[in-house]
Amino acid sequence: FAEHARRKRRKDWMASIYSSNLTPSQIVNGERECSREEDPSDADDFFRPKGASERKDDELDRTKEILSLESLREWENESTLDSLRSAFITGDHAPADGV
Amino acid sequence: MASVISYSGHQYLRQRLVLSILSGKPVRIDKIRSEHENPGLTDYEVSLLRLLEKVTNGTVIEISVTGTAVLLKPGVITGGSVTHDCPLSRAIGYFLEPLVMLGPFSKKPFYLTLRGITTDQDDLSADLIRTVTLPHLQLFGISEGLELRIKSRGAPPGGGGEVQFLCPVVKQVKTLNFVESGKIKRIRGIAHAVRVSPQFSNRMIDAARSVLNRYIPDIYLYSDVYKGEESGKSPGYALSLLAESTTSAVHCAEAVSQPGGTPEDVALLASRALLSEIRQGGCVDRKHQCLVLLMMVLGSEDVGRCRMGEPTVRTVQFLRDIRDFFGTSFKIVPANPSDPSCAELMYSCYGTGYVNVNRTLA
Repeated sequence: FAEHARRKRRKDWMASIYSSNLTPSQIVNGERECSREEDPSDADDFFRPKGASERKDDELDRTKEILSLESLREWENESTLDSLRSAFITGDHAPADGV
Repeated sequence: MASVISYSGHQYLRQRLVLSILSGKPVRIDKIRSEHENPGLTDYEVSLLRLLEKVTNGTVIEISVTGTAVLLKPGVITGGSVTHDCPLSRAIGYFLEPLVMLGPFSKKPFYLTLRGITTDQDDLSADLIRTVTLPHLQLFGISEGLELRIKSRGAPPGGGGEVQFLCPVVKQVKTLNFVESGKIKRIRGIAHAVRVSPQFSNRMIDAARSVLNRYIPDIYLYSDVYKGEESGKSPGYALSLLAESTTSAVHCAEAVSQPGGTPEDVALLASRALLSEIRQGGCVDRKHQCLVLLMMVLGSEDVGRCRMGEPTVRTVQFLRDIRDFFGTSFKIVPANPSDPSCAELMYSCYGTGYVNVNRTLA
């Protein structure tokens, strides 16, 4: 069901950007919450830093996002690290081996 | 006179000023921090307005007495040799990012000297602008003579850095058709440490390698050394990383020293942020979505297409602002409709056929 809801929402990018009154952060974060539900292991890690960065985003016209070790903690996890292997030329086959 | 486009609030000031100057439509922004303790424009925003005044001719900027409203009637982008001292409240990147968007459409090529802070945690550092932002312009046929020289570095709070931005003038930008994101083939990085032990660079490089080496052997992290006067007035260090794909899509990330932090922390932050960025997918880095979308709108009268990750908050507002100034809406559809797990999107638009009328005919 979450997958379905996400797909539905994803198709609405144009509608939410051009013909809704939602603020940009509502549009983007609504979407982000959706993708987070699919990955419950990350749920606790995400909440605090997100609130903090949102507030500061409001304050400053900044290009880089605020980085914190907490929000990037998922990368301590081996399986998360391995999941990205297919994005590299070295990881075309068998994404789990060759550490 | 063209009708004035109005906005409220201090957010997204830079992009609105840029769009106003490029489109030739005046913009009025009111309620700038009218509810804040320190109402009105900040020193760096005023400084940016002054800088825009310097690189244009005939621009009229009216700031209300309280500083909470500003009206900009754009003139002609003239470029040429301009020097500007950036206030130490924001890094040079804050000023350079909008100017990168204006530079190609100037009357004379930009030869801009900016002084201040070269790397901080809010804006793109001089390193990222040189290694990532400028190559993005090359996608649109803006390349010959495009250069950013880092003459000296300046870490916050003291600054003392200086960069030179050289930008050629084009008649028109090319239509973009960038739909294959490819696979990451190499990772490059620049570590620098000023007014601290030069060992810090090496420590950052070692720590970043410990994260990234598992993916790919082609990693070259350069330790950039600046000494004496060239290293600015304050101590600081940072690591800028970029990942390049087989189709030359570039993703980047950067982390800057924090009080009490270690070089290893900085390297871990930068490396993990780079991995997050790569996972977003697409052909364009999130920090450069706006630049690419703008150039697509200004492209020749043809359909430009680009595959990117989900838009950021800034990008969403930028898309809305583009429609206000140019009347162009993007078509945004899932890049891979058959695969629901793929969050990448295809952005396409019909270029406005923007022609640089400022350019002096050779």
